[in-house]
Amino acid sequence: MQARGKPSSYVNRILRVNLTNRTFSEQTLSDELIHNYIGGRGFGVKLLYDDLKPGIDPLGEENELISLTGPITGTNAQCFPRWKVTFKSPLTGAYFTSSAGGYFAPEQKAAGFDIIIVEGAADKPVYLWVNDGKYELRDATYLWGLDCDDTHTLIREELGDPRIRITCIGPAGENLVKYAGIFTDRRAAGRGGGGAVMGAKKLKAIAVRGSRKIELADPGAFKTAVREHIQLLRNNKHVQRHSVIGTQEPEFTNLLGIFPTRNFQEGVLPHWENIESSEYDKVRVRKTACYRCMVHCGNITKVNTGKYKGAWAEGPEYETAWAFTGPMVTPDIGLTIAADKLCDDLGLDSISTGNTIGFAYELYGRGIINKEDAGGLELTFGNAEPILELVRQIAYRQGFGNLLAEGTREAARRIGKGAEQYAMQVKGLEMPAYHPRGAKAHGLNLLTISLGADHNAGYSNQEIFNIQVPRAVDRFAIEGKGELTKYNQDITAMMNTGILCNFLVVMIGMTPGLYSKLLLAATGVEDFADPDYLWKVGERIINLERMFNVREGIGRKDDVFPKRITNEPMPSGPSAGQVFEAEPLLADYYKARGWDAESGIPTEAKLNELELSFTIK
Amino acid sequence: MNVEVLFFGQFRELATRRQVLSLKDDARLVDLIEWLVKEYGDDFRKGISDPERLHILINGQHCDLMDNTKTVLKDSDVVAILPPATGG
Repeated sequence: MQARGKPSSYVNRILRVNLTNRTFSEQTLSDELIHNYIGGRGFGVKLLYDDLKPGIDPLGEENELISLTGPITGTNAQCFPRWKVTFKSPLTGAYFTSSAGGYFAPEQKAAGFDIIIVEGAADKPVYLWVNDGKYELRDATYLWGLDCDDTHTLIREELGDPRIRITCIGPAGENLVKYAGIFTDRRAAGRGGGGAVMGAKKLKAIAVRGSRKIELADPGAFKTAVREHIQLLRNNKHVQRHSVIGTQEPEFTNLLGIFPTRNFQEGVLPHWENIESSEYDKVRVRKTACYRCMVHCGNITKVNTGKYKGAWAEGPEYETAWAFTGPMVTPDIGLTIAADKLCDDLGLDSISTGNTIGFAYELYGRGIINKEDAGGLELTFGNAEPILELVRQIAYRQGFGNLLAEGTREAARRIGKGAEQYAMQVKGLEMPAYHPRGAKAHGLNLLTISLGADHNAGYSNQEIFNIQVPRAVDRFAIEGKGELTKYNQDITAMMNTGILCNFLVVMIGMTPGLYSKLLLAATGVEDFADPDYLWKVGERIINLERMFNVREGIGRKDDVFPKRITNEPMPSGPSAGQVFEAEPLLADYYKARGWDAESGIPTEAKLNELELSFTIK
Repeated sequence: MNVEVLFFGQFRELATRRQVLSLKDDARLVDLIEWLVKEYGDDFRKGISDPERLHILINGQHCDLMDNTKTVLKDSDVVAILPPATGG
């Protein structure tokens, strides 16, 4: 460990806020927390594991919302803007961590805290204001009901500082929509229902502002490592392309035949040429960037013609470009931009929203629900008309939207009549824009990661983009995919401590060796100089997340896809004939992980090896 | 035989989005590339000169230009020529 009292990039302060009692307390970071978990996602899972009792209601007072930064946050290193928020998910009933870019995390650290933990629940709407080491709860009654954009505007006006950074919820979070997200400017920690956790606590927003400078253990070495990183980014061809178009590239997965279409029945969207990158070129009007990011992958888009003329958004990202096209077979960029903005304003996760609407379309087509059930809407594939209306209904829990606001798993349970098999989710989290049948390691991550079907937690860039690190792979093959999935999940968890942008993990815009140089120079923690140690921390995080879920009764039985994915061969396209071979793939994965083959639970030997023996009961 | 070629990114600026080409029956990927260089000239040659700036998919399967130029094409193959893909 570094010597206490020496310069370090940690602020070394945790703020704990109890909304029930309106009390505050401060703690320092323990040596064990720093050494074993580094920051960000690592801090979050350890604190949540320690603080929560198993079985608590995610929407009850006992749940926590943990706002996280990392040791590189707020420095001048490139591409470390990410904010992480960890909580028990009301959508999955399991561990969850979500993430947003933008400027909030550096400002939280400048305001004086590595971590802010919110517990309890207020009796009326409040927001938390953290200003240069001071803090207070302020009345948010007048903000309740406002959308995310207006909430940002009015808080900045009230506090008289346009440079205040904010995370907040919209009406969807207030109405406890199970997949409501948390929004900071126009960036979203969208997944898993963190917005509903805030809504249940009557916490409309957290606002931060500060002037604290980040200290470094070795400023000279840090500067050298930052320069090395900038050179790496300048030479990276994927990064260069990413700077121009961001993620607006739906053609790639269509060409692979893994663009989930018709609620995951198919893998190629009819008329996908209408939504390919060259079409997005026509509506892209400005670039945006997160804090200290030379990649500037963000895009402002604006619709100039047609039915949605005038609609604009920051985005859509690839996932949203899919969510409002593939599931319902509606290849329309105008619609997508309008829906993206609506989700951002009302505070919804666009992935779960689009997936859930696609689920409703399939139920309608199969006669499991009818027009009356759908509030008079005609949910036929190809019909774009009901989509924006359903987004609004979901956010406000009105009409048919009230049922869809529960997410596909719970909505299917309530509908019955076999609807469960058409809910495209894992552990309750709606599946994203990659068909598991045509990319086996990508699918294996969706199947096994503790969050449910989260693509970012173990993105298989080898299968999707043919990036040959650590090796080239055949995307249809099952051999070696357990080890590859472990690799992708562990490196992501490692980089999520910093907190590095996930796009750089995918594009090899960072290496463990360079990351270790940055960490050592920033913190002075000697073990961080060893990339092998960082790999171990990544593995530790994944295993502790798994053990959180094991404690909740979630395990092997929940590592399961809808049977469409495992039993029905892809009907057509470049991935035709493929199924996801769950049994051998899972067996390979558990073996690679050192988890019990029958239960899917980490073995005692593995837990001891990772210094997680405190999870053994 | 006929092969469908799809162009994306900077290659779209040189060629139309989609072309169906008639090639000899035993044509290889390298023959197709040579034809395209002849048709679209130095700009296309420049565009494909750096393998790191180029991504080729044949019927949705990744294809390394450096290693797979001798890949034999078949009738009705779809060859996509793209810039390197980015995150998602």
